[in-house]
Amino acid sequence: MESAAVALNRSSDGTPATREFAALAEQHLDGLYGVALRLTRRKDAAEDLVQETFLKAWRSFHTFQPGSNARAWLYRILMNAYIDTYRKAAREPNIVEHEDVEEQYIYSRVQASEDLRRQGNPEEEALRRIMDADVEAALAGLPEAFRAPVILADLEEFSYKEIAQILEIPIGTVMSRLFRGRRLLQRALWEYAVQSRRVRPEREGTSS
Amino acid sequence: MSLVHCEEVVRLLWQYMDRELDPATTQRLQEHIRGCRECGPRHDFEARLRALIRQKCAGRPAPAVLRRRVLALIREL
Repeated sequence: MESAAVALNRSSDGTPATREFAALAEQHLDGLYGVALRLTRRKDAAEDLVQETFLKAWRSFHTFQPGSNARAWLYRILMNAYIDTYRKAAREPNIVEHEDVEEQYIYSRVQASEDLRRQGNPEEEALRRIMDADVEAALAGLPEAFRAPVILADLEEFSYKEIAQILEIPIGTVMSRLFRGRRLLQRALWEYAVQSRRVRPEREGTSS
Repeated sequence: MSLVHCEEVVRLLWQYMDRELDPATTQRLQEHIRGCRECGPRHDFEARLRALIRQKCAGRPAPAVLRRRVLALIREL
């Protein structure tokens, strides 16, 4: 499959701007699609969102400063398109103050777990159980406001400052939502790890 | 040079791993984590957990049909 940039470079109708835009699209297509899929959780919706992102990006491409952070710029457009289409309420998340859990939740639980201590190497055993967990589903189950910062930081490796630009929220809010999201994700994974212990012997029993 | 307490590591560990702390604090924490029997394993576990999450949630390339759609769209601009 030839790239958009290559195709446009050859074609006579590609202007310098469209060729530059095509190169940008080519470079970030996979990354944007990945995030779109995590946000919408549906393949067809993710594809539409990416297409919408490129349409919107092209409309404001003349304001884009060459040399500035193209990746963060495109992700911000994607987030805005997503919020406009799917989650108008996401800008003002209804953050219910649940009983919160501590930082590094799983590690703390592992240290306190008699069940895991009996396994000899509790850290390894916990990671092994989490390995079996549906981590994608746990991530998808996070409330909107916390899921986006976790995706952008832990999967896409954006800095706090970039995430603040992408989500158009202050850095302090990025940090509180990111840490909260990580704690909630860890709690979901921990619950899986604890439950899997109860389930596994029965499964093994029926299969043997 | 001030000492680092383990509670400080618990509080700042994620910012440390995110490389978002100032250089002096980063260095202080790094030295403590390397030498502390409590904080070293905590840091290592957290790093492995994060790598595991990233590995399990790794993105897939955009489908060819989407690539074609985007290409067609740009050609029409």
